[in-house]
Order: sequence, then structure tokens, then C-alpha cells
Amino acid sequence: MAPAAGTDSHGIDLGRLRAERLQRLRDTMAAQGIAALVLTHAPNVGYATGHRVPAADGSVANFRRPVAVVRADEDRPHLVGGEPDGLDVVAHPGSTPDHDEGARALASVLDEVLGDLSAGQVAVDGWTGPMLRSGKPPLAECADARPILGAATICKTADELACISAAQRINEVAMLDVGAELAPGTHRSDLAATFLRRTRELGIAVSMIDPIFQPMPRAIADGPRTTTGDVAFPTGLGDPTYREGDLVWVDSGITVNGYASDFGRTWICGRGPSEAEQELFDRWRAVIDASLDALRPGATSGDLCRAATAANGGERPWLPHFYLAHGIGIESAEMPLIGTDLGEAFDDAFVLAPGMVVVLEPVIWVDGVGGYRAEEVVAVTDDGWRALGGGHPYDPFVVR
Amino acid sequence: MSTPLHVERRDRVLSTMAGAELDVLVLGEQANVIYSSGHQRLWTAGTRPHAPTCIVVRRTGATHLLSTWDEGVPDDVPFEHLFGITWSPEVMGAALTAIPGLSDARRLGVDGMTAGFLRAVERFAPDAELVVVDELLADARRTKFAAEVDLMQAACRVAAAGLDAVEAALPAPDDTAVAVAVDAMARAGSSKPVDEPLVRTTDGSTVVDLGVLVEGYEGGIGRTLGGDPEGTADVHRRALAACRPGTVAPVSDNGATFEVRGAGLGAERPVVGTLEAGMVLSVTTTAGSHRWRDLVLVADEPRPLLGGAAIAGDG
Repeated sequence: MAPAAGTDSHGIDLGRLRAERLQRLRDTMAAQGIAALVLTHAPNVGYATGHRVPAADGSVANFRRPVAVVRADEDRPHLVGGEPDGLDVVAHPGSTPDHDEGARALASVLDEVLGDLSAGQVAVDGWTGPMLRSGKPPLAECADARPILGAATICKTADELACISAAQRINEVAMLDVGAELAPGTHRSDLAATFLRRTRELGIAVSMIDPIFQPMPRAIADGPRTTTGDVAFPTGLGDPTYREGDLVWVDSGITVNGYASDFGRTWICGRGPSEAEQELFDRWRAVIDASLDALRPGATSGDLCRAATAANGGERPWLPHFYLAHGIGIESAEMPLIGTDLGEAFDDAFVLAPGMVVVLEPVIWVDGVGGYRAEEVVAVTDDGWRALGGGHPYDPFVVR
Repeated sequence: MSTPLHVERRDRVLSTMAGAELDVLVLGEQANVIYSSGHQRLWTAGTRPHAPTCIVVRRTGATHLLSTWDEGVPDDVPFEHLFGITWSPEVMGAALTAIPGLSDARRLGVDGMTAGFLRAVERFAPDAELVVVDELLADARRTKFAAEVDLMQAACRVAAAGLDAVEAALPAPDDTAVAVAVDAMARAGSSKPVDEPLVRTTDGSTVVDLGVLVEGYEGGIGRTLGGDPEGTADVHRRALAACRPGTVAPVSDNGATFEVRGAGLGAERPVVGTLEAGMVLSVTTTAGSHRWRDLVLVADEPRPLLGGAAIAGDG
């Protein structure tokens, strides 16, 4: 079916997407008493202006980034540098704030655009070295923009959810071919190659992370040593060759219109699961079911954590350095963060609301047997939740 | 046995700190973190929000790293020098406060900042003067150790494997050729791009420009396939041969223009001023729709990392 008029190839109305999220950003600024934002982190710049930096190493992305300046009392954001064509922005010539020349251009735009404001009314998400040298915006006086971005982005618009769902679906489709390739003697590089090729063939240019296909140890003592004493992940150096029976933890993320997917599964190389391995999956499934049963508007993060823990016999089924679940959007992991070391009081105070995205990633570990880890991406709705993406099999594990 | 690369680099960082009278570095930029610590970690695309990721203390010579596990951490960084991922500013602040030499630092170097981290610094190192060190460290990283050049050469070979695969796949739509290139480069050793891979066909010739990272180090190659009536490959070869110490990077020649920047732990800044022995440059030669790119080691006999024959043989 051809996309509707005014929409992209995924059927997403980019004009509406940009207008609605800019409004959310300005509403959040007003609510938090911030008159202006200065944004340097590329996903934040993209959120405010629609500007996107190519899928590149940080070293290149830094040198290509423009800066966004957003005033709560103006309709259009300012873009300093970058490629403003096609964007509804006030364009200012400039270059990256990672060069002194770009920082100087930014400083003069800030004088012009924010000259009537005190520094305390301005929030900034990050300073580069050249910005610190130029003294603008002044580090000691400005507020932190990250809580504002966190609050503005936490509940997604319908178009944002459509982007995440499209990214998830394409990520899943690409993984079908990759999963079929896993066999004794194949290498991690083979699986990464097939994944990156398939995502390109499916029209996706951006891989957020180097895709992970990690053969996992069966016991914590056999893996990398951790500060928590628990399982290390995401890990993976070199180019391991898979052997029959390897438990392979898979993790990847791509983007559509700057919105991320998050694909997680556990695969077994060359055979089906043993009964003990299948039981890991059964428990993982029970934790997911219990978490989803508890997931509705008004529930707290604490409710989810308790439901997941109860379904795992009273033991917390997630890695202590991470979380039971995280949000996703313009970042691979963003608010809500559920079950972190911020603690139970934080989780109990955090109320879930429609439009939030929850990526559940419980881990079931039995030392000596190994672990099962996978991810489920859902959105909170008015009366519960709905899955994003198209659904993906758990092969070779069996839902029973 | 020769000195391991991570020790060579750390020693250079420590002597840079001594020269600038810096007591501590708190680093967040990927290139600075790898250079100072040797830590290999998961590659992610795009800009990173600034976070204290690597701390170097001059007095103890110690490196402390934000990492929950010891995979990818050099053997001579003790496990006790790792501080784990945390979501809590209090936990992070306590971990940093516990690092010997940090709380009494007088001059503390940073390569970026956030308002939140400034508040943390004011708590754990209240007397410290903040010094911006991005340029200082970029200067320290500018000339390469032999082992760095070896890694960049390895990365160039991976990129060349991608180019070979594209050449074998042509004629093909540009998007298909890009998919072929990323597949071939991943199988040849790297699934970590430096930049968006380029395949662009116009008027019967195809410009290909590919770059990947190996252990954080950049390699790359740019070629124009399908004929070179203007002889731009020769102009490009002359530009590479001109990258000698004491000269200035070439700007233009015979209608072609050159873009010259540093290369190392990813892309480095454009080169201005005099070239130094041991720099590695990414030299892009553009003439009309044609483009060539190579990485070249600046030396009295400049050394393209893929060798002179690789350039002479194609185009």
C-alpha cells in the first residue's frame, strides 16, 4: 500500500511529528521555568529541530553537529550550522561547536538570540571544550537541560510510536536471516555482516550500536569479572567462532527518523534447548507475563519490579547494573528507567502514563546452566499496553 | 619485548599532564578515553552525552575507568580502579571521591562538561581549577606510535575489502552496492563505520568512499571506478607524495582540490600549519564528480597506508 500524502515511506507524518514534539519541549520549558535551551547532543538537536547527523562514529558526528537554540517564546528554533534545508528553523551560519571557530559563531548567535535573558534562565545539555573556552553559554550559571529533555520526551506522540514500531519491525525482519545463519563454525563477524547488509537492503542506514552476538559463559565465574558480582553484558570483543550449544545473547538497535529499536533474544547454536535451558526461558516468559499484567497507566515502576520479582520466586530477574526495563526513543535507553540503583523509593514514586515506551529486558540466570535474556518493546496505552514492532519468534525456545 | 601501545600512550598523556601542571584528567570523549586507558568497549553511533568515563591521576600514574566489568580493560589497570555504571549521581559522586588524588586536585583537566557534572566536581574536588584540555590532548594524539599506524593500516585493509566487493558487484544500484560493502567489511574485520559509506554513480563512473574502525583506529579508502580521463589519480598520488614533514598540506593542484585532516582514534581535526613526521592524514582529492582518498603517514618518504601500488593500479 502506498503511503498517504504528506507521509514518509513508513507512513509517518514528519511535519506533524516535528511540530508536536517541539510543542512538548516548549511546554516543558514553560513548566520548569526555563526560557531557552542550548542543545549540542545530536539526538536532542534532532528532537528540537528535525536535524539529523549521519550514522557515524562519534568523532565524525561531533564534527558534523550543529547547535539548536530554542526559546520558549518563539515559534521556530534556531539552528547554528548543520544543514537547515527543509527544516522549519531560523538558520544561522556556523560550524561544529567542537572547533573554536564554531564555538565563536555560536557565541555571537547566543548574544543575538538570548541577549535579553539571564544565564540562569538558560539550560544547556553539554559543553564542548571550545564552548568552555569561549565562555558561552556560561557553565557556572546555566541550568542542566537534560531533565527538560527527559520530561519532554518521556510520553511519545502517535508519530513517535510509529517510528519506534517501524524500526523495531525492520530490526526483527533483518534478524530472521541472521538467526538462520547461526551454526557451528560461523563467526560473530558473519552474523554482523548479514545483519548490517539486511538492514541496508530494508532501507535502514543507521545502526545505533555495533550489533552484539555474544556467546555467553555458563557460570558467572567464567565471564568477565564485574563490580556487582553478577553477569557482564553487553560484552563482546574479537570475533568468536560459535560452537554447538553456545548460548548467544543478541542485542541490536537501528533507527527510523532518529527513533531507535531494541532487539534482544537468546539463541542456541546448532541445537534446541535442553530442559534446563528451556526452563530458563519459561521463567523469563513468566516474568514478562507478570510485568505486562501489571503494566497500565497509574501503575508505578515499583509495581512492575514487584510483579517481575514475584514471578521469579522472589529473586530480582534483571542485571543489577541495569534495570528491569527502560524507555526508548531518540536514545537507545531513556526514561522511564525501571529497577535501577536509584532505588525502590524512586521506582515507587514513578507513575507510568500513556505514551511511555517500556522495553522489558529481564534476565534469568542459573549459574552453571547459563542465562536467558530477551527484550519486549511495548507502549503504555490508555488502558494497558500494546506491543511495538511486528513480533518475533523465540526460536529455538518454545512457548509452552 | 616492546612497550605495549596502551603504555606508550598513557606515558605520553602523563608527560602532557606534567607539562601543563595538571593533577587529574576527567575525560569523556571517546578518543581521549581510549588513548589514555586502552579501554575497548561497545561501539555506539553518534555524539555521546558527556560523562566522566576515564580519570587519570598524575601523582599515582593510575587510570580509573567507568566500567562494570574488566573485559577490554588493559591488564595493568587493577580491577579496583573500575567504577560501575550507575544511574545515581550520589553513587557516581562517591565513586569519584574515593579515587586517590582526585579530591585534592588543584588543576583538573576536562574535555567537556555538563551542568550536572560541574555540581559534582564542586562537591568532590572543591578546590580544583578546571582546565579545558581538548586541544592539549588532540595535540598529544597527533603524531602516531608505530602500533597505531599498524592498526590504521589494518583498518584500511578492511575498507579496501569493501571497495573490492563493490567493484565486483558493479553494475548495481548504489544502495545495493553499499549493502555489499558493509557486508564485506564486517566479514573482513570491522562492523564499526567511521562515516556513512558512500557509493555514488554518475555518468558511468562510481565514487566509493569507505571507512571503518579497528580497535578504535580509523582506516579508509576513496576511489572513483570506471575511468579517469582527467588523470585525477595522478594528481592524488602527487598530493600523497607531498605529505612530508615541514611542508604545508596541499590545497589544490591542476583543478583538483584537497581536503586534509588528521586520522587516528576516529577522525581528527582539519590540518592547519606545518606537517610533522608521524602524523597520519586523510587526504581527499576531488575533481568534478571524481574523488580519491587515502590515509598517508607523514614522513620524508610519505607512506600511503595501503601502499603506492594500490593507487597506481586502479582508476
